[in-house]
Amino acid sequence: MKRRPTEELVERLVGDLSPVAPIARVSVAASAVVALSVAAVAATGWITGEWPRLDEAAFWSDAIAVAVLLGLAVAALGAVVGALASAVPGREPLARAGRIGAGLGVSWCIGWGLWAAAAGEPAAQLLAGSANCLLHALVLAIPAALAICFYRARGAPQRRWLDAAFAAAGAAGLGALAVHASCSVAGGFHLLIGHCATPVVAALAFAWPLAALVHRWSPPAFET
Amino acid sequence: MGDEREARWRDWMIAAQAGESPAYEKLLSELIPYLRRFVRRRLLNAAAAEDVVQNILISIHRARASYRAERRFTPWLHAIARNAVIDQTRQHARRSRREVSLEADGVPEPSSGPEEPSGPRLSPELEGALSALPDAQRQAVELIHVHGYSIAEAAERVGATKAALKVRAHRGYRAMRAHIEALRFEESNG
Repeated sequence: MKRRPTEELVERLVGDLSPVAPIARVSVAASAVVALSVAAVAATGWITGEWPRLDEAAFWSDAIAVAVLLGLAVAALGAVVGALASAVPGREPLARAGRIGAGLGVSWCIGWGLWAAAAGEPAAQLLAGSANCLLHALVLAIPAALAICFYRARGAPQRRWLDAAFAAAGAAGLGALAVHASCSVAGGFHLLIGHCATPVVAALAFAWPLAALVHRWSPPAFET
Repeated sequence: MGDEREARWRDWMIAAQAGESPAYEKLLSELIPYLRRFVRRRLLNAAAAEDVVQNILISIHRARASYRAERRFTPWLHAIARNAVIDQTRQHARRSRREVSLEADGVPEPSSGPEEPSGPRLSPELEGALSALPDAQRQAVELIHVHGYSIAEAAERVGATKAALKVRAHRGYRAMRAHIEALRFEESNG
């Protein structure tokens, strides 16, 4: 009796079986990503001497700075969790919640950034230093972005582009969080462009390379 | 019954992650009829159902590290299966949108099997458009759409990869369509 192709496929899949270690829980992976970001901040702080000034009373007395800090934290954690959970079949509700959190966090930050920018200070002057903060945040994001990609490659990533954009936004959001906490430049435009917009810029600029990286690190396609 | 099955599949999956082939074979074999039912309930295109089942099995194989023992097996399986059905639906819709409607221009549908090299007769308009193509594109279009070879068979015949042959055929369809539209435009404008 002729065997059906699906049964033949099963035979080939069984022949291709090798032991695998189950991937980490999403919560463990997210904690590891945050820990990597903290390590990156500590390493650059050690090199450059710039440390978050969260222990300064002046920082906490600035309501906009605190609001942006909270927004970046929600955006970064939401995007990281969304990007990680979307690679685990069955964790779609968590991924969706993460993405919603990231969207709300980014909107909150941009809203406050626009509010601050609308204060009417001369834009050209206050744009100074924004690129520095943006680049600093992106550099800090590299280890976290790589860790998210590694996790996603071991899972079952679905919406490659969208989730790569969230991975970039999450990693850059963590970087922006540290930069925002250590930046002493005042000004609404600087806050908007150098801090609040960082997750959006990262998502737009790095979705493609991160999606390609996940694809490259994924196990090779099974030849049928 | 459901809980028993759930526990059995979970145990087999854990054993499969440890590299135990017999457990993996039992799991996949038992999943096939379940997945067939799952897919047929969700897919209008019944002909594609078996392909989707195979894609799900391959996805399970590739994503087996993403299952964690403390979670239920069926939600994990359903998520993979649902994604495969969605992928199939999207691919089908994309293909339908992109497909150059050569049928409307008189190109016969691919026959069920390869025909003799003489092939079916084409309208003079299509013959003209076909002969205006570069050799590689003409050969690709003729083999697939005139003589009814599958992509794989046609690629093997011309000694090209499947991807390269698809690209040649697609460019050929577009060029033929442009050629025919230009001819019709000229005719309608005297």
